[in-house]
Amino acid sequence: MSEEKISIIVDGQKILCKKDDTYLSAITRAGIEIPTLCHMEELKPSGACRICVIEVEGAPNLVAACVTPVRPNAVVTTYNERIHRARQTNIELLLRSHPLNCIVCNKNGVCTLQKLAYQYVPKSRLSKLEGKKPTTDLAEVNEFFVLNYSACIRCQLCVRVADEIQVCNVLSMQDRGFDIYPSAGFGRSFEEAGCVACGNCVEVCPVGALVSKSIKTTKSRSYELKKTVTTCTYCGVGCQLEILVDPKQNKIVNVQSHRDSINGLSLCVKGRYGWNYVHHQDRINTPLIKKDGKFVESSWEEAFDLIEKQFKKIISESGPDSLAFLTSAKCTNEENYLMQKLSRAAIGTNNIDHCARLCHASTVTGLVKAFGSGAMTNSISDLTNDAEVIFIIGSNTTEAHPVIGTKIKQAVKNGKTKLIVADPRKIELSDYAEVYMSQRPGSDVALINAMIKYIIDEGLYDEAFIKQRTEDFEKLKENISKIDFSSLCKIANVEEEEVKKAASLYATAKTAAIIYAMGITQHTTGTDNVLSLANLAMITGNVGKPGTGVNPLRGQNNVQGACDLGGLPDVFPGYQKVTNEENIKKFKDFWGVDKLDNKEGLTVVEIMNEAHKGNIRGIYIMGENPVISDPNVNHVREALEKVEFLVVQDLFITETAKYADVILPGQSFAEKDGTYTNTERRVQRVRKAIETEGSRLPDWKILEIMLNRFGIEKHYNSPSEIMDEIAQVTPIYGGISYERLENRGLQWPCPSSDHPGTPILHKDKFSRGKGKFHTINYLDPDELPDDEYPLILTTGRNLFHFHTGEMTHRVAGIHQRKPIEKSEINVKDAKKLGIKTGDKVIIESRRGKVLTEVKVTDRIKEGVVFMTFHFKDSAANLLTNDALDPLSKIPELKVCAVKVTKK
Amino acid sequence: MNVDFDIDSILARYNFDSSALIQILSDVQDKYGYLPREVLEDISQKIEVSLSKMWGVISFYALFKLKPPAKYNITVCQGTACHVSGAKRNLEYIESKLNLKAGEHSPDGKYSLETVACIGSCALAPTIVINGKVYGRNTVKTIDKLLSRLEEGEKK
Repeated sequence: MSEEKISIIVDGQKILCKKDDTYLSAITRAGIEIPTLCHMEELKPSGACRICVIEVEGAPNLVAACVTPVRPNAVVTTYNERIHRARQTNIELLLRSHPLNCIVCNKNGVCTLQKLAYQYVPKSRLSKLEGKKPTTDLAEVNEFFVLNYSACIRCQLCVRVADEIQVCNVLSMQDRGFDIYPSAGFGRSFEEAGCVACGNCVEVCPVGALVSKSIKTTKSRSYELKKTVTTCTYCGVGCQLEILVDPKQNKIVNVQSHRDSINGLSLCVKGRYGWNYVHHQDRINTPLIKKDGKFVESSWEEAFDLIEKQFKKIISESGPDSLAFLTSAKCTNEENYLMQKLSRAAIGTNNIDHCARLCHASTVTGLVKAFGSGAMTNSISDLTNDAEVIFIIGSNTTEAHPVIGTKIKQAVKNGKTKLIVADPRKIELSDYAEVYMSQRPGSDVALINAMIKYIIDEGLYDEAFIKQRTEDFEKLKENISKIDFSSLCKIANVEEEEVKKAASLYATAKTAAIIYAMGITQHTTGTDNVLSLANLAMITGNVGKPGTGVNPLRGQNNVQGACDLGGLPDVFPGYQKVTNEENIKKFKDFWGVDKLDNKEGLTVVEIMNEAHKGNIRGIYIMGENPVISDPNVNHVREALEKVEFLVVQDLFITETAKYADVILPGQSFAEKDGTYTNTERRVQRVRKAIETEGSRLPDWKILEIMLNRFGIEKHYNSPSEIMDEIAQVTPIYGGISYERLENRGLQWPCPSSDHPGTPILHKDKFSRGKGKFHTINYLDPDELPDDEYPLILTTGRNLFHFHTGEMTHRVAGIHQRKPIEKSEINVKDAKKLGIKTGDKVIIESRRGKVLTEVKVTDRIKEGVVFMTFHFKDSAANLLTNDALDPLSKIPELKVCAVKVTKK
Repeated sequence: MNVDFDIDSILARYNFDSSALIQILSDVQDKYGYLPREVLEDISQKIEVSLSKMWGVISFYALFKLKPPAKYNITVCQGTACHVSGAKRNLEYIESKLNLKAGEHSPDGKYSLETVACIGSCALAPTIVINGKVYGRNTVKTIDKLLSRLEEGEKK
C-alpha cells in the first residue's frame, strides 16, 4: 500500500503530513513554531497545558495542536489575536499560582514558563498575578535533587517521564483541582517508592520545581553555563551527556542528557549524578614516587627518568617479556592504541591485556569461532524496537546497563516485545518476563542445550537459514540427539515446562534477540556458553536481521574500544593476529621498528601468576584496579608485592596504586579529548569540558612521552591525529575520523571514509563466511559446593556503583545512598543459618573470607549467595575462584563454593 | 493488626484487571470500612499497579479512606439547602463539642468528623449522617441530644 499523502494549509502555506500526525508534529516538522509547555516529543501527548492551541477552520473552539490528529485539507492558523488571548489567559492562570521570584530562581533564563510569560503577558498584568500562592506540606529532598512544590505548574511531565521513559511508576498526581501535585504517595519519599534516582524527571521539569542539588553550587546563572556534549564514562551503553560547567569556578555543576543520541532523554544515576569524583580532593595532581615506603611528589622529568631507567634495566637483564602492560577499558581509544604501541613497538612484548579478560574474553573467543567477529551483532535501537522476543540470560540489565534496561522495559510495556529471562536471581526484568527460569549458576550450557534440543525435536528450526548460511549443523544435531532433555533440565534445576515454553517462544518469534553479559562469560565454560548461544541463534535463523542476534553487553565505557585497538595479547589493532607474518610486516613498516614479537603474550591472570613466580618483573598499569577487580585477590596482592617495579597511571591512589613505585596522574574524561566505542560498536566523541588542575597530563600525552623515551619518535598534536593513525592500520576503523564522528558517531566496521558504518553484523554473510555450529556438552564448574563449603557464591553489580568503586564511592550522594555491601541470601538458607536481614556475616571460601552485611530475600535461588564487587571493605574477589576457561583464559568469577557464618 | 485479609475473591470478580481499580478499591472499602495499607500492597502486586498510581486514584476520590473508621462517623452535609439553613453553624458546634476538626479522628477512636458536598436529602436540611443514618432539621439542640445519646450508648 502506498503511503497516503495528506496535506493541510498552515498560515497560507501547504504542508504535507503523515497519516498519524497531530497538528503539532506536522507543523513543527515544517519549521513553524508552536509554543508548548507540557509536550515532549519522546512522550505521548497529554493536552494538559493548552498553550499549543491553534485555530482550525470549521472547529468551533481553538484546538490543542498536540493531541488533535490532522484532518485532510484542514486550514489552520497558528497565531492570531484570538490565539494570543487564549494562551495569555492560560499562562496567567499558571503564574497566579507560581512564585514570581525569577530573579533568584535557578531556572532563570532557561525556564519555559518564564519565556512564555515574556512573550504573552504584558508588564501591566504582573501586579494582578501576585495573588495567593498555594502551599503544601509535601516535600522531597534526596541525595540528588529537590522537589520544590511551590514552583510546580502541574504539567505532569515528571509523572509521564517516570511512566513512559523510566517505567518506574514512582510518581502520580495527588489530590485534585488546585491542590494536585506529583507525589510518591502514602507520605513516602521517592526512594521508598522505588525511585532509582535517574533524574529524568528533573531533566524534563520546565520550571524550577524539580532541581538537581548540584546546580545550587554554581556561582553562575543557568544561561551562563558552558555546555559540552560528551560520552558517559561509566558503562558500555555510551550515553551522550551534556556537561554544564560553571566557567567562574571551572567546575561541573550539572549534567543532562543529549537527546539526539542512542539514550535520548534517559540517563541513569551514575551518568547524571556520578561526576563529582572529577573534582575530588583525592585526585592526584603530580607524579608520585615511592621513597622509603612513602609516596613523595616529584616532577614529570624525575618520574619518567626513573621509569626509563628501571624498565631498561629489566629489559637488558631478562628481556622485554619480563615486562607487562595493563591497558584500560576506561581510557580512550587513542590512549589504548598508544599503550599497545608502547608495549609492542617500543618495549617489544605482547604482554598486554586489560580487564576485558575478566568480562568478555569468552565472548570474543566464542563469537569469533562461530561468526567471525566478537562483538555485539545488533544495535541497541533495533533490539528495543524490532525484537518480538528478547532472551536475556546472565545480564542484570537494569542494574548494569540501566538505559538499555529501561528501553527493554518500555518495549515490553508498549506490547512490542516479550521477554524470556534466565538468571539465578529474580532480577527486576524477571517481573516483566513472559517466562522466567532460575537456573543453577554454572549450568547455562545445559539450559541452552535443552532449549536447542526441544527446538530441533519439535522441528522449530529454520532449515533454509541453516542450509544457506551455516555449517556443521549435522554434527550439532547428532550430538543433541544423544542427550536427554529431562536430565539437562535437572542439571540446570529448572522446570521442563518452562524450558519448553521459552524455547518455543524464542523459536517461533519472527525476530528474537539474545542479550547476555557476565552471567554467561565469567565461567570456566565461558566460551562454551557463548558458543551455545550462537548455536541457539543460528538454528532459529536469528542472526543478521533487525531485532535478532547475539548481543553481549559490554561492561566498561570503552572495553569494546580497548579490545578493538589491540589491548589484547594476541592481536594488533583491529583483531589482526600477532602470529601472522603479514601483519607483523605491516606494523613493522608502519611503526618504523625492526622487530615485533610474533608470539602471543600473557593474559591478565597469567601476568599475575608469572609475577608471583618472578618471571614478570615490571608492570605498567593504566586505569585498572586488579587488587579489587581480579579473582583471588590475595594472590594478586602477593604478585604485586613481588614485582620489582610497578607503574600505575590513575586518577586516585587506588588499592592497586598503593603497591606502585611510581604513580602518574592521569586526566578524567572531562579534562581531555578522545573517543570511546560503546557496546554496539559505536565510536563516539569524548570532549574536554573543564581545564585540568595541577600538573596532570592527558593519558595520551603521558604515553607519547613514554614512546619517545623508548625510541619511537612520534609527536601528536591532538588525539584526532592519533585516530587518523589508527584509521590507517585498523581496517574496521578505516573510515573513522573526528570530523565524521561529530553527530552520532559511527558503528564499526567502517572501512572507508564514505562508508556509513554497520549497525547490524553478518547481514548477508557471516564475517567468517559461514556461521559455524559447535558441539558443546555440559561441564561442571571448577568448584562445586560440598559439605565444607555448601553454598554457591555468585557476583554481580549494583546500579549505583561502578566496578571497583574508585569513582562512585567518591560521589557524595551515591556513597550516601549505598555506603556498604549488602550481600543476598535465600530465605530458606538464612533460616537454617539463623540469619536475618541486617546481620553481619562472614562469607568464606577456600581462598579468603570477608565480613559483610546480609539481606535475606526470596529473589535469590536457594543455595546461592550474591555479592557485588564494588566494596573494598567487603571485597567479593577475596573469595572468587581464579580457575580459567581454557580457551579464553577468563576466570570463573560467577561460581565458587562458600560457607556463611553469623558473626 | 492481626487480620487475615482475603482480597483474592474481590480481585477475581474483576478478573485481576487493573482497569477495574476503582471498583476494586470500593469493594475493599465496603468489606473493611477503609483501605488497609497491607491490602493495597497486596493488590498492587496482584494487578500490577504501583502503589503510587493507586495513591493518585485514592487521593482523587474523597470517598476512599485510609484510616479505620471511628466508632461513630459523623458527616455534616454542606450542600446548598443545608448551607442556607445552618450547616456551617452546626459543623462549628460539633467541632467545638468534640474538639475535632472536619477530616479528623478523635484520639480514642470514638469519633470521626467529615463534611460532604450534598447527600441529596435537601428536604431535611440541614442534615447530619451518623454511621450511615440520616438525621434531619438539625439545630444546636438536636445535635446536643444526638451526641449525648451516643455518649450514653457508650456507658451501657
